[in-house]
Amino acid sequence: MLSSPLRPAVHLLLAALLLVAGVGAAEPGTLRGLDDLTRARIALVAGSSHDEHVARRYPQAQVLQFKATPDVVLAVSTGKADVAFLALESVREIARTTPNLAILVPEAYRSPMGAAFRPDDTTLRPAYNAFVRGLRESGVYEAMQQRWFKEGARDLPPLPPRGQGPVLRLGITASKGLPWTGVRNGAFTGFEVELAERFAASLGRPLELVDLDVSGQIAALASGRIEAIACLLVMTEERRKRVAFSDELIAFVACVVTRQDRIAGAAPAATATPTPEAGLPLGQRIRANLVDEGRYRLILEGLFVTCVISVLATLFGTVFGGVVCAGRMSPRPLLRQAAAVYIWCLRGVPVLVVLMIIYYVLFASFHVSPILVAAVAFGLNAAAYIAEMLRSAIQSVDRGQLEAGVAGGFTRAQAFRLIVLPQALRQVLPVYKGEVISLFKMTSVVGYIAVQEITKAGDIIRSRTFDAFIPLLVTAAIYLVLAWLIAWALERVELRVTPPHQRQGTGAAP
Amino acid sequence: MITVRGLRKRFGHLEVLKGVNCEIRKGEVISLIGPSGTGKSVFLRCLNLLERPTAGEILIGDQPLLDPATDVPALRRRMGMVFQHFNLYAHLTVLGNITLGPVRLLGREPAAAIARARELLALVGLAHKAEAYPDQLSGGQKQRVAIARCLAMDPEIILFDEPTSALDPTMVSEVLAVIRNLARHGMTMVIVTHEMAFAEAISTRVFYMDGGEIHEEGPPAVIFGEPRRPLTQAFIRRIRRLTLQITDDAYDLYALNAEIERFGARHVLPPRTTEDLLSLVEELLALQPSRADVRLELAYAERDGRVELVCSARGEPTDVLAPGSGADDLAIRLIRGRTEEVRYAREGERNVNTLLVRAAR
Repeated sequence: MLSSPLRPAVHLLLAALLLVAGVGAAEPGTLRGLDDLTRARIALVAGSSHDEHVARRYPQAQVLQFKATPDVVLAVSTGKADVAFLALESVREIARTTPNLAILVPEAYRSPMGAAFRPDDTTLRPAYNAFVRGLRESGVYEAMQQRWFKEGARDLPPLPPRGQGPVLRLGITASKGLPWTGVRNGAFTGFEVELAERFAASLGRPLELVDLDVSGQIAALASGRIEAIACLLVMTEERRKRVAFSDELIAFVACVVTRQDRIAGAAPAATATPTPEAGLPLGQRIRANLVDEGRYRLILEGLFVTCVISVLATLFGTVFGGVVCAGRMSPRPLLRQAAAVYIWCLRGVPVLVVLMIIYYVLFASFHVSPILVAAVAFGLNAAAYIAEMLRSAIQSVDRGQLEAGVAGGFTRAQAFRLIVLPQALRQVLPVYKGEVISLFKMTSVVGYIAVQEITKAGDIIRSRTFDAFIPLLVTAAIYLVLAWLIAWALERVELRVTPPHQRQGTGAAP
Repeated sequence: MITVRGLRKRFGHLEVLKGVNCEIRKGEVISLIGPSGTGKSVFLRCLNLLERPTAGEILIGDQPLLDPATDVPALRRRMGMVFQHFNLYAHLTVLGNITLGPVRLLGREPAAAIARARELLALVGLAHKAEAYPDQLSGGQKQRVAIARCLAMDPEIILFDEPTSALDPTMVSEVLAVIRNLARHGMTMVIVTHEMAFAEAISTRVFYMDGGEIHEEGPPAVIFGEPRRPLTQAFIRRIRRLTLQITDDAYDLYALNAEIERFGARHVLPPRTTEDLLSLVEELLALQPSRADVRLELAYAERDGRVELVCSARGEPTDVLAPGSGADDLAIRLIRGRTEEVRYAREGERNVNTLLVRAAR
């Protein structure tokens, strides 16, 4: 039947299929306690302390790593994960909006938390420890804990005025959610934010908060983007090797949550719904996601940032793409080679990686606006593609066109500009349109470098409402409309430069 | 107005021009003729430096074209060029094509340039196509626009690079008529062409190019009427040749026949002539006492349809076609019946029979 060399491959395929089917068919049983986690699907935030804990304690478990707390919550409430590890404080806040979650184990483990500094730091860390001691002695610290963790405060209290000196840049994670850090009415708020504000005020320096994912904090600290990590981190062994922690501020209590209907002995989940938000009426959900706490402002600001990055990147990418194309077609072998290597690199490396290299490596020690960094990164990427488009468009123009111009008395440069280039540009427009739209959509990843564009705005809203549906749908709709607008505008240009008798062919809107 | 001395052009290892010398005077119409691949177009393109010569000298008026100090674009403005593939600017209308040079290079007012363009379009018979784009024109129309585009620059000379080679046969005449009209008005022109009748009719002088040089030049009456050199004669009479070599008595007659049939098909010989050739070759070879070294040469003159078959065989002196030579009389009669003339000559150690194949009617 089958030739023998094929047989092992077939077996492997069958095994893979069985594995996939087996995973898919896993019957969600009920859970009783920590012992049931051994083979469970555990959701947690990538780079968080849970990661280390789970890897050590439950090596058999299937770990699902997510970027931020809301994704973890969604994973559990939709059944993609069996349980999640979360901070106890976060769970209190989450329980308000996601009623079908329940605490399986209130305290899975406990560990100290603190702010983090560079290992070689000798001034900021002692100052911070002294500041916290002062805060405790004056009773302010206790009041803060009371307010954020017990009373569930949502807004910052009146704070001491900011100073005048050099800016103090501290890292926070807005997607961590309240009571730690969140966004309300377009501003950061939360326990950590208040702490950071008070610390900066005690130093007499103005504060700038840099919003990074948990996994990006330590890299940003090492590269000098931020001076300290103000979002409190659990002091794990792994982290101690990379950063110097402050004295313990608070004990971190990790708890395990699961869906209510998964807990043994719970009432049959007749009323349990697959998604937490589905129970609320749509109008209320839209209101909660877009209107409450001025969330539409987050979206509008994100939209503005997305547009700024897209426009700057397109302009820079087009101009620089022209330069690279000129190099690629230069008579000098060295220039040609350089341009070819540039194109090869930028087309071979994902734009997100380029973005992070520029942000964390190249511009590590300069404080350039991340929006500018994003525009440069996307521009560099687009330039590689645009250069190749231009080159093939120019090469597709018949050589005779240039010859006719030169024979007619034009210099080569004139003939190129007046005769070849207009034809090449007309040719390149349809592909260029695609490139601009894809660039525009690719900007959705700049959240990685602490830019609050529209996707990130959606993420932040999700971190408060734990509703995946509305923020993602609104984000998608905005992208769709803008992409359509870009296509429409470029098609107008296409139409203008196409002679009337050739127009039927172009797919331009009427 | 153009003097060329010792012009050489080499592409890699291939030397296309091997020392061209000539003089072109004002008011002359020069036709460049010759087989393909002999450097006619390259020579023409050297005249306005679209190709850079490897060696030699070109004077336009008294300005050395190859001198680095020479303003080449300025010189080119005085020399128009018409291409085989028209090369109209695809993104511009007919008017745009004609006015681009005058406005950008000669500093003409756009309105004046457009008025002049319309005059020129009327001259080439395309006044109604002023607003059309090149892709809306036929080949002949495109070429006429290209000529108008040249004229708009008020050139002192126009170089035509096979202006009708890319045209449908039905459109050749409209373009030739325009060029003929220019010749009548005293425009200096150099024309690379395969249109012999046209070249004969309008040229003041004809350059026959072969092997990378001007092989023979002269007035059209001489070049087309009584060319002196054999290569020129062969070209003018359009003689096509086929040489077949037999080295063995056991030759492959079918392969031989296939080659003759292919030759006939390629040069569109009348079917009867091809049939005659097949039987002539077969009989001739049968008559040879030895087929160890027989060379057959076929020559077909397109101009008058003459077909000549030369059979050259090494061996003892004997004319296999002489009556009563002891050979097969039937075969000889068959050969005589298919030829108009048969000659015999002894050349060195070879017997040479030259047969003029009867004309097919």
